[in-house]
Amino acid sequence: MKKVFLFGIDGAPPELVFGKWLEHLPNIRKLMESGAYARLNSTIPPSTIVAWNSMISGKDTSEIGVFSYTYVDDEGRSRLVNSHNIKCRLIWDILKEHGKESIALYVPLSYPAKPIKGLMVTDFLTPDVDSNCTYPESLKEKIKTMKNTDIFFDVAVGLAGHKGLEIDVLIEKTYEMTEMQIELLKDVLANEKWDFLMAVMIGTDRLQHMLWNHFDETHRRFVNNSQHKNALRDYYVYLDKKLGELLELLDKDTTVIVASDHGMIKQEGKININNWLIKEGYLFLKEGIDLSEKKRFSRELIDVEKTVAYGGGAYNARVYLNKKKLGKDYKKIREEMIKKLRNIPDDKGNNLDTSVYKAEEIYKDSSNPECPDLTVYFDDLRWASNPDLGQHGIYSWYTAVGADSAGHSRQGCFVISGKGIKSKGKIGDIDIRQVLPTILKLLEVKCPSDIDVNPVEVF
Amino acid sequence: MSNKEITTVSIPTQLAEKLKKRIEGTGFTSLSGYVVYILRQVISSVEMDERKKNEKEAFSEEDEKRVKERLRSLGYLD
Repeated sequence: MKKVFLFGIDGAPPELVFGKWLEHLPNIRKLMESGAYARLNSTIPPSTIVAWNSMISGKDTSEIGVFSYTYVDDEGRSRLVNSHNIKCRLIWDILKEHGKESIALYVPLSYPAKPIKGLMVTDFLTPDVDSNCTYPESLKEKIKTMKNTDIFFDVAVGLAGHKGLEIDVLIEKTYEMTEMQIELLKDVLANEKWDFLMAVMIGTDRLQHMLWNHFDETHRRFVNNSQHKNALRDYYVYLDKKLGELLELLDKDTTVIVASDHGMIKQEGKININNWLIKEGYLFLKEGIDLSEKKRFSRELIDVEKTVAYGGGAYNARVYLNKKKLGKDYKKIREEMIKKLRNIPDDKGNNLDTSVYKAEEIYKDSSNPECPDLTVYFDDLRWASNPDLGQHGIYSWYTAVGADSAGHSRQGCFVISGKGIKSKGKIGDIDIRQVLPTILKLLEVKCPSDIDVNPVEVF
Repeated sequence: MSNKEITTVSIPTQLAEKLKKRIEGTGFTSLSGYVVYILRQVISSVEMDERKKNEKEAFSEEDEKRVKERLRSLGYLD
């Protein structure tokens, strides 16, 4: 019986996995040599919750219907997204129609768990083990027997906030979380029935955000001779070893995919997008708002009558234009704004390699009110976006919650190896959406007609 | 569309007559086409309501607050 095992490594960058660190990762290397591998073009934006769901739905951000971690509900309140916000079918919905069983472990934006044909354990957005975190519910008993269930779903839970942690503690807790996640993964992989099994390891992402400037000598905040210089690489070596143990448990007819949802790139700093919009005369705040201290931006602060645009976003910037106010000038003003955004220099006056995307150019359905009019990658994501107010000027190094040493980049990794894979070695870049039809083909399931992309050319 | 993709359901004659009267001016050429249209509209609206309800009820207020704090500490939230 043909089976597919997808081992997801959140945010694994091809530059490190396929390049610099490959010699230390024997199991990934073996899969790359016995099969094919490619750089994977992520979604726009390369956000964890969007990208994984694009990979397993074959759909773009707009079809999934999720643009960020929050959405505005019908009462106008900013709410946290969850699995019910996903508008399209995911791979287990398709496989169910063909009588196939799926196991989904820790897949971002799977909380609350949904009844699927198979098993589900939810993701890092899970509040705690007592919440609706498994399907069937009885599965959570296995988690409850583990020694530190508080951090089973995310190392950042219940602690002084990820960025407030001592690095030593963060690293130790990340291993602890991963050990528990792998233990459950091994258990279900070996003992449960499945045709498709997917597990996403979040530990890499959590460490990368904090440790990048401990090994990247070109980082402007590089920590010279850091005792954590090899900590991130060591974690990859550990994950590779765990992958090797998992591969031992698979039968020979199983095709293995190792993939990441996006890559990672050093973060130079942040552009204070709303400060910039205020400076350029696009954004006006209500009278009496005190900006002498850092303040989180919220739409309630806007003077809607006067405002033309406001911004959001963490690694990329999302810019929303006031269509009602602009009327027929919408396109003209948008063009003018694009030009200005592209011309924002860095803090030393150097040009930035900034891309600005219009909604209708990148999305199939830009009618969703959450869909930003413009998506901005400052310096190809080396500069992040900071929507906070009260910062001085347009550059900052910290948000209200701390600093990042790295942000998400455009390309992740894709490795595939198994009996039916004819291509060997490096192949051309792939689109993240192509993973879905590739898995369906391997499982001999007809691809639904509403999928716009073809399987990866490896057959 | 092959026959396999069509099935027959019965509706009261009185309702059919009522619907026929409403077809005029809508551009629909058959009662079946009109009924399918109405059912799709209804079901899509019901599904939308269910989805919105599920979206809103996924997190308790307390849980949502906690998870949001966690995401802020990761720099993921605006």
